[in-house]
Amino acid sequence: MTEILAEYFRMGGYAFYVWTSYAITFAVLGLNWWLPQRRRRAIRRTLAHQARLSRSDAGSDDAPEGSDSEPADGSRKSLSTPGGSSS
Amino acid sequence: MWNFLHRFASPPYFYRLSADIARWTGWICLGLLGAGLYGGLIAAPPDYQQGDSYRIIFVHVPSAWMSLFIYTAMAVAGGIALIWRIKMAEIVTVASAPIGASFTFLALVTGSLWGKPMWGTWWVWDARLTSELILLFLYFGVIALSLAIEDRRTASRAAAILCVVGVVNIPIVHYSVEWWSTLHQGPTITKFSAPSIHLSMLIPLLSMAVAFMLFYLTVLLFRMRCELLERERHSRWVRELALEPEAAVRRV
Repeated sequence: MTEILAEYFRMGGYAFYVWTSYAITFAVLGLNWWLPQRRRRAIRRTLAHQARLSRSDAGSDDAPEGSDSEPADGSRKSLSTPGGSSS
Repeated sequence: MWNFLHRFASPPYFYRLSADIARWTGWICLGLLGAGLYGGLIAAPPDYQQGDSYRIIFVHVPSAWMSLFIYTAMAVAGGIALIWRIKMAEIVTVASAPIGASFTFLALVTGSLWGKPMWGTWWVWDARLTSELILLFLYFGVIALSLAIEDRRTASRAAAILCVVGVVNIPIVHYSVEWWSTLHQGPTITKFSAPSIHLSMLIPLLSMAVAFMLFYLTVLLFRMRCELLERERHSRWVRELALEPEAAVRRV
């Protein structure tokens, strides 16, 4: 059994070329899969943070919750603070 | 159909629906990838000329196909973005570029790893290899342009122009093996007569090709969702989304 497996992984003498190709391919595909998901979670964390900030600001200005009106100037500033335009 | 497309192009609707679509395409991609790997690495017999080294074909050829397909898709989306100023088309162009660059890189690297044992060299400056390398630089150019300009919409329009201009390279890559005498072998699958490849190799190859296509679609949706959130961060639907509980962040 181990001999058959060893023979298989030898790939008729081309083991290095075949397995390196597959390893690089799946490493690159894996990165492509993972990086956008990580980026989206980071964006959503930033957005949630800003939303909390603007809500606590708006609370003191007695703006009705969930109102459509433009928030008071204090909260407006917080929407464009750290990480707003970056990443 | 047009009605659906119109709704699909609205950012909040797209953001919700794309999560479901990506889940489906992701799972089907995984299944086909497994089938293709089994068929290509275990079930298919060794090649009578190239022995087991030909098994690189199952990742090399689909990568090369995708490198051409994604660039063409970017150019079409770029053209639509330039003519009709459709925001979603701009996002498709910008979000596709890193994925296309990845597939081009893979086509070059796996080709090199195949060329060493078969041709005796990692690299030659022949028409096919050189034009594929130029394709990689075109992708880099699109990525660099879209990052270099501060305003997102101006940036994606500049990137779209480069895409449309660079599309002239695509037929050059495709026909290079016929127009010039090169070390690279001619097409095996896409010629008009019956493909000169046995079914036991053709089926895993096509399975991998469809899997790579679905992979592109899935990751494209992932990237488009990020772009949308950033570009629309001051809009009402993103602010409402931001108020949802932390646990929801992992899912959507």
